[in-house]
Amino acid sequence: MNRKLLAGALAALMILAPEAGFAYNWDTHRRIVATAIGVMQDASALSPAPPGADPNEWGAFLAALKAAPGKLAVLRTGLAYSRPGPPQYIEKPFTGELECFHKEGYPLNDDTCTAAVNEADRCVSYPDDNLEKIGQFRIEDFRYVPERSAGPCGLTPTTDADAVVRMVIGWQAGSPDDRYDDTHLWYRPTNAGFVGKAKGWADEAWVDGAGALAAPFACAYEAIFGDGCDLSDGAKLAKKYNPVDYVDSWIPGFGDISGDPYPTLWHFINVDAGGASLHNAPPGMHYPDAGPSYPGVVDVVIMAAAGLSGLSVRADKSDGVPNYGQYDDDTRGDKAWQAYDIGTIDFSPIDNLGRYGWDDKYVAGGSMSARGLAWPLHAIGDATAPHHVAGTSSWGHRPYEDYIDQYFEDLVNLLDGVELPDDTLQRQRILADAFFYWQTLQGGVGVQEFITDLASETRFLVASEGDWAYSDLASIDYHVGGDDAKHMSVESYRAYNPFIRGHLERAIAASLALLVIAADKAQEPEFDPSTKCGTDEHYVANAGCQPGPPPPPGPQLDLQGLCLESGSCSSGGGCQNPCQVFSDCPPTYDICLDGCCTAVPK
Amino acid sequence: MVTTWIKTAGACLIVGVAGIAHAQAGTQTVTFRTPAGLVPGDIALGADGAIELLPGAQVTRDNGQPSVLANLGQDGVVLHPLSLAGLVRSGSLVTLLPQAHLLGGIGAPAVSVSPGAIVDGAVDTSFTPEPAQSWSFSVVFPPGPGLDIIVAPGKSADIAPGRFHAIEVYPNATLVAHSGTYFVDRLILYPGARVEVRQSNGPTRLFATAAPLLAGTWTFTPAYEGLALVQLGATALRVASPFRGTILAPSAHLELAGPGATHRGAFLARSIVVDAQVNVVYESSNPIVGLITPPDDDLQRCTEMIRARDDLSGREREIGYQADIARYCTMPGAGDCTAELVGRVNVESFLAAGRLIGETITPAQYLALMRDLIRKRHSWESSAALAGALCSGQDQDGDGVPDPDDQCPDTPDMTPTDAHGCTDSTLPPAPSASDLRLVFQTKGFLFNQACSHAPVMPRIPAGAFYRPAQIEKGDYIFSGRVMNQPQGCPVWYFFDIEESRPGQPLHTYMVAFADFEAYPNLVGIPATPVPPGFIQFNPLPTDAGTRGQLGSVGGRFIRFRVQAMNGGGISSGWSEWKVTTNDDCTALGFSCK
Repeated sequence: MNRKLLAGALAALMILAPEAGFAYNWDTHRRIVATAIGVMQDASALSPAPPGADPNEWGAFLAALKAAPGKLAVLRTGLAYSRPGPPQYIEKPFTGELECFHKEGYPLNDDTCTAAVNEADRCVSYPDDNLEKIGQFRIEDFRYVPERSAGPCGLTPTTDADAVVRMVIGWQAGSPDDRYDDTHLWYRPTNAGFVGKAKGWADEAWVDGAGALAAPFACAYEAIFGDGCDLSDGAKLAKKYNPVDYVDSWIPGFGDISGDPYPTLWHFINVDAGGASLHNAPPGMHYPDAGPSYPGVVDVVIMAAAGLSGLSVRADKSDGVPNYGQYDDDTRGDKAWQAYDIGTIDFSPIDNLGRYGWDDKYVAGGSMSARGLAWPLHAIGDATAPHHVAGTSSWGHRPYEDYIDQYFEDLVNLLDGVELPDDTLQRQRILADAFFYWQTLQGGVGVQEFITDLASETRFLVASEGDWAYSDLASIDYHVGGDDAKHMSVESYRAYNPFIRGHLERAIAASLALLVIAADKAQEPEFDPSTKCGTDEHYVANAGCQPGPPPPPGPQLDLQGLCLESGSCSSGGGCQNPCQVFSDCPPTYDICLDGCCTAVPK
Repeated sequence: MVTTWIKTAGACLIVGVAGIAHAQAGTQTVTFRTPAGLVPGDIALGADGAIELLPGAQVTRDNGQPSVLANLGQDGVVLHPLSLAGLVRSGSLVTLLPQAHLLGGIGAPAVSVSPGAIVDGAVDTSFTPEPAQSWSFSVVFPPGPGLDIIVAPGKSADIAPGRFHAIEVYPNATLVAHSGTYFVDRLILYPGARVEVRQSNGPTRLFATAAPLLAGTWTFTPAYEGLALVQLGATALRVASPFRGTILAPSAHLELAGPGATHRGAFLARSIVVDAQVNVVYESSNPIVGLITPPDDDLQRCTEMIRARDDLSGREREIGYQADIARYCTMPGAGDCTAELVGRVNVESFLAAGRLIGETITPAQYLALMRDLIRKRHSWESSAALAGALCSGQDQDGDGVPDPDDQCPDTPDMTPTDAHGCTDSTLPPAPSASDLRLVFQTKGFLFNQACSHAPVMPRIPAGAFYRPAQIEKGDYIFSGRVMNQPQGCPVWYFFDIEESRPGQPLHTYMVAFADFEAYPNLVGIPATPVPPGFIQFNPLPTDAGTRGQLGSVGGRFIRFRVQAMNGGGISSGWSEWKVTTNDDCTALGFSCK
């Protein structure tokens, strides 16, 4: 572990309340980064130097921090446009169900498989913006907030330029969870005649909770190897189960996203496992060594299910193999990736993922797009999550994620425009941590090593806090205990709010530090004229820039029945709630559109 | 004329000269077909013209199952007296002369069975091999001219994979070939020739423009790992001494000859004749799987075409199967040793999971086993010497520690060991068995206890498949009903569907129903229950997954078979394949149109 990094963290720990962290989902990643940028943008709240800090260095840090949002705003958004077209489908592991699939598309849309950015005719957008070039906009020229999975209208217009910076880069930080192409899986038949066909039965055989599908697995095994599949005595087969649904729902992140090729298997680093892997030290997800001390129930079930079903990585179609595997300590070819099931191979650790984004996308791309920040920012988030740094899908992983997701604003709420005394203290703690992280990065520590050290620090801190984050019982309750038990398993983490808040703050601080460094590298990509329609053109959904001036505004009802034209609203003519910015509107309204508060149906 | 020197085991000697004529370098496409529902790996003899078994010829399998003869051509299949084969699928007349014997059935539009001939299975004259499945792959011949390898009597030549103009091995001469790919314009093995194939690094593939005579003896060292001979041209090919491997000659006539000879493998040609008293023992055509479906194109499809070896049984058969998957699909180009070791790892991983599920080992034992397995895998991945020792029979107890280092040579199966090969009974911490059981039980994954002591289920017949006039009602599929299970023990019916719509490729899938989903009445006949002994299910077009597929297809396009399985995992075995006929519908009480 990097001594300086640890020292900084420990100093902050002693000065501030010792707290601990979690594992994150998409929106948590977005909020961490948005908060980090928000702290940078709120220059008025900058705090005094923490004890022991060199005043000159602190001053340099603050100066860099204040300048960073403006530098980041010149980056291109890096959002990907996907033109409506033939749907692409992927086969869902185990069930064979086909699911809609976007590659590098924004917004990700799970409903039609054909949506693209604001492609519905009635979506609101500035008529002179050519949204087909959404990725080419500089953030400072972009006047929208992107949603993760937006339905027909993926962008919400805004006049809050600061919010755009936060939300675009925050969107990028969450996006690696949606990189479905990172992990493509396939079924290697696991015995000569029977199990290979079981996949096709899954969605049919699983009827009313009874375990039909276990039969092909279990009996095939028994029949072939003669360990008890005595066809005259079913009693010997009484204890069999269906491994299928487990993996589908228990791979971390799966329940939170619509895609299923398990992109998050690359999002771990098991700092406890040391050199257990042949390819990395520490390794990424490696189920036999999962967990803070041993694999949890979910880990073991995934191992067994994968061993029975042959669920394996398909190397040639998995972007994670070349992208993250290239930075393995000991690299391996495709053959080694796909010859064994996912229960026995070791995935590349999350620090590889972070390095890939930084080196291959951000730096190599001339530091001109926010896209390259997606991976390192995401990796930082996961490196502050106790379950990710212990490389486990069990031990309370999912309930912990849910808890953070549900209560993020109770733990960190610095973007609501209201500064409470606790907020100020929290801001100071974040800045103190960020300063030490920034010093580490300034000192020449590479992004990959930074993430590795951050993960080690997380694991060290959680251990020093009594390993409160790890509860296999919470996973059992979450997955099998019914709604009440699931709720209780999530709520069981409330008792550790101080720890959780501390690790969230570390995540924000580390993200902030990286963003300051990234801002210093940011290059002005220059305005791309293709992002604007010509002076005699206007943007038309599904058609791009078209000749002529934009048509006069008419009644705007989007596909969901959104009333956007005040004169046509059923509530009567005229604007009921005039506004200049969104914050002028009552809470029940979502956007300020053309000077009128407008509600978006939920 | 160019003089060619070939280094042999002794001194260098002239063994041949390069000719002027040679096949042009470039890409050639090999195309062949198999009947609907059959992939190349299923077929022992496959033709697109005619198949003839002369008197006393036999085509069998090591495991006693029926071998498959498939012919798409119009010249028929003829079994002469005393010939023996498995089952036949043909697009033209099948003729069994007196005392010919088929262990399986016949699917062909016309069948002639002479008195005294025996057909153990059913005869289905409604069978059609269409739409046939077409298979093709490209062969890229390296640029010529290539060498002539003419091995004279008493001489030997050891040739590495590559491009040759001609390879001719004379009587009492020896050709040494290796793992890899050979391209040759003309291949001839004269009677008494010897071919030693050294296969330490995967299978051997021979692409020949013409191979008119293969009359030499073949040996494989250290063990047979696969041989594929693909003849591109139309020259008739005669195999006159025991051969082992796959021969694919889609444009040629193939004669399997040599009185009393036994040829092992799979043979696909334009037409095939098996000479009198010649035996053919089916072995899967795995060596050509990687050609037909390049693994980079479709890994899943590649593995689905791999067939297990009949000459192995039990765990060794499974290891061989996994090794072939590695060899031809997941790790093409990997050495045989690697493929075998990968096979062993995957089989043991599967076994360990099964034992955990069956609670014959504890979670701690399972983790110990898996960690031991992975540790040893890493060891041989890092050490070619270790891998070589494990592959060369120097690990009698199979514990992954070579015998010279193994201080405990009789370690029980599936037991973790230390570096000296002695049992390591140290158990790692692990979740409790009760926690795992709790998860299984709560999720309903425990098998139904009502199925304890359930009797063996009979094989049930496939019934009928039909679509009522009201299309929105979906389709109806019948099978025999399992009647002998204990009360409360659920039974699932798995239908293996082959859907062949005109002009579309064959589509195969599985659909399963539980007995409690049965549809009780015949559709369109008021208040008429399904006849006793049958069970009926109703897939709808609006159903998800494969049910929806089955629910939206007309009955004429469906061939299916059925297997029942109870909640204890006991299965009945598959029925015969079935295509619904008017008689089926009449028997059930309604009419099919």
